[in-house]
Amino acid sequence: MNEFVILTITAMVPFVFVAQGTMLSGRAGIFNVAQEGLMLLGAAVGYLVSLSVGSDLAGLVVAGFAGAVFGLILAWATTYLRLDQFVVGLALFFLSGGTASLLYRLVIGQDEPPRIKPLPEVVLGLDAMVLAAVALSVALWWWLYRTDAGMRLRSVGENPKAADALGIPVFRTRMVAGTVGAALMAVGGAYLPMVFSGVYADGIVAGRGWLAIALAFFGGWRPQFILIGSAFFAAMDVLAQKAQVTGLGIPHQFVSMLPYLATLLVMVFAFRWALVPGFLGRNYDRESRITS
Amino acid sequence: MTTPHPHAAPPLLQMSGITKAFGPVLALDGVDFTVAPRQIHGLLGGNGAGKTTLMNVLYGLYSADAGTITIDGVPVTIGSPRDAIAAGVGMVHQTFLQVDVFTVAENVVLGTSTAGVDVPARLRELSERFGLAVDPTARVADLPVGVRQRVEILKALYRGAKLLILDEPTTNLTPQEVDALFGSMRAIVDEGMSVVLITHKIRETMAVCDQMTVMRDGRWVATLDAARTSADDLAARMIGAAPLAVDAAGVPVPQSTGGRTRPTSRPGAVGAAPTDASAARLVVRGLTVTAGADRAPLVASVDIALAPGEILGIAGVAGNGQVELAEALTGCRPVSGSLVLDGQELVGRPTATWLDAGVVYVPEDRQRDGILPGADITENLVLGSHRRLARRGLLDWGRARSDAARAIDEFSIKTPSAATACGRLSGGNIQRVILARAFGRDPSVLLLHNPTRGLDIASTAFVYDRVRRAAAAGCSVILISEDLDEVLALADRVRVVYSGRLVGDVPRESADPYALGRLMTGVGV
Repeated sequence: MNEFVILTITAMVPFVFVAQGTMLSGRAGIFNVAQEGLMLLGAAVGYLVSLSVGSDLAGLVVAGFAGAVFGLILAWATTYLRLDQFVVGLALFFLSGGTASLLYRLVIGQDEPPRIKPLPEVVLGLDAMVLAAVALSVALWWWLYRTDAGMRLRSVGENPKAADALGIPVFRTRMVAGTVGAALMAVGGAYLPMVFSGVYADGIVAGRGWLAIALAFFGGWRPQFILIGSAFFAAMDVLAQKAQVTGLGIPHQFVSMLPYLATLLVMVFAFRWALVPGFLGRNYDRESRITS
Repeated sequence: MTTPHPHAAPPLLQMSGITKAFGPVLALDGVDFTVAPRQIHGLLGGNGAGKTTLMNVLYGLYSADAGTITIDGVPVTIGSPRDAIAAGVGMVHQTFLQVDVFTVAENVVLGTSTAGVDVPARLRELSERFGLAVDPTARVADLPVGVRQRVEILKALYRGAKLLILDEPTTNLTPQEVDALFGSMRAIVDEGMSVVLITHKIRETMAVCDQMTVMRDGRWVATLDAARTSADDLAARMIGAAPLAVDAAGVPVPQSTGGRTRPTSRPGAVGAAPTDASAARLVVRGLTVTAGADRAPLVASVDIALAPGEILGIAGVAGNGQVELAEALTGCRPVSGSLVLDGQELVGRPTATWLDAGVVYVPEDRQRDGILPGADITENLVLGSHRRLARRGLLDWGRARSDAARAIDEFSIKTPSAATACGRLSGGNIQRVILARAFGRDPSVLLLHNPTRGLDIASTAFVYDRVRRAAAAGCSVILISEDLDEVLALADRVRVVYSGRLVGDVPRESADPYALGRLMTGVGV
């Protein structure tokens, strides 16, 4: 396959995992904004575990658990303590990013970092995580729109009071969605050292976490459009790097800007109908006497 | 209340000693409530009496601090709506709890397992049995209020409720829809279930209930058989001691606060006489609000002529352009057409000009459009009068505070102090703040939109009294209300808003609720 296509498909993987995690949490009403930090945490944990155990799979799994812990904190603080989602999310962004740096320095220190072996190619020069990313998107779409459980999750993110009145466990749903969502984000981050660099670096995420938030909006919080959108975001990512290295006659900053610009245009023109979960970023209080 | 005989069937529902406090406020104080099988049971009381709170406890939305619940003779613990549904309780809330972007069918089955269930067939069967016609594939956001209510009832029936609670179900319905609802309630009871009807309208309970329980201030007052009571008796128990009259809405009005209950005795009222345009101080011609080039106008070519001291009632089902009409008539929204007040054209002029001309607006959504919830009462009362209170750009807070103290006294605003944030007050007291601000400006045109929604009886009576007094003093009043009874209680003339157009124009004396109901639903427009 064409080198650009392979690079783009590979670059899609972290976008897919992180944006689908954002979508999953958001569909239950939890707006996670700690992607950038959670990806870095996933990268550090994934790298270190892979290095010491010698298995990329173990690295991905442990990274997912690390992300899940932070997702649990976010879900608990916003669901049971009803703290402001944005404030908690930003705090967790700093905390998870700092934890990543700290872990790396504790284990590796100032030494030259050893490289981990890249993920093996499975088909057409692509690794298994590419297939996993597509399978995850399809599975999420099927689960959200074809199952009772998926409909319940969507109802919690749209109108938790209505869901609660029908006996749907709103708090538990938010806890699960917030935790799994953050785990996916960390897995997306763990993919970076395993494919691109072979080593961890503090700048490895390079804004992809923030882009994933834009991607969730770009995809209208729907797994199928997020998958499509991630191809576009990844292509821009690859182009920007090409522009930086070889020079395409345009400033690479201009290419880097395109995903944001596209998200803005999509939100202004294409998606004027309600495509953001109705309760996104808000906290539910059953006994609140103020009707929303 | 009597204890059941040993051989008699146990009551369907027995709640005993239910107590619930919200912070320092005791919302329910040892309430007992019993519903027999196959019964429509009215739960009657003013707003703030605790009716909805009691039923929210039964439905598991509020957890009670004390008390026991027994269903079919079996004690149950209800900690969440899930428990309530399992125990056979269904509740239709006043503000519908629906997921707007879901279809009717999705809303109905949400939270249940659909494996092996033919949902459309089951919905059709329930619709036919109980006279609740719906289109299962329609998105609920696109449906009118009456249909959305049917969806709510279907949700409860689909889950096999044997006790259905309806919280103020008639609020936004036309008389025809109310009749259909009562018919469905009868069909439900005929199938062996029971219905609890929460309402503050005595006439409704007398029309449809077998038995009623009256609550006041969070306490149980009485449980009475419909056959052995009267509207006056119920009203007396709802209000307490004071002598009272029941107004046109079947809402009791205490004489002590209400003053006149017959508005026709008001001096200066023009009554049934059709308004002569030459006598009108407010003349509206062709007022139109557009929603965009390709869409139908939200308010279409409205004409109004209003004399000083006249109260024009505009009835209608919610969502027919009331908000847009109210905002158009008060200068909150760009419009085309003409609005002349005392010879001055106001369309296209800045808001300050409208305020100076004496146009005052009491909006429907008082928390959102009426106040700054975080600002204190004094600041909220200053809003809109700030230009008059300022000298060289500096506000005269000394005068503002003394004005606020006077307003709190005159309008009986219950608050710890004038420095209390407005959002912390109860709905009734927020409305009193808004009215104090409105009347403080000496309005020449007063527009009220659903001014008593959610208010208790005393506050409602207070609002009616102030409006009648303002009209008697020469203020022209436009009352837009989705409560037809309220329109008939206050207005000299009644018109109906349907799809953004004003239709009909009848003097109150010859107004027939059913004829108005036909206009409200667009029949015979």
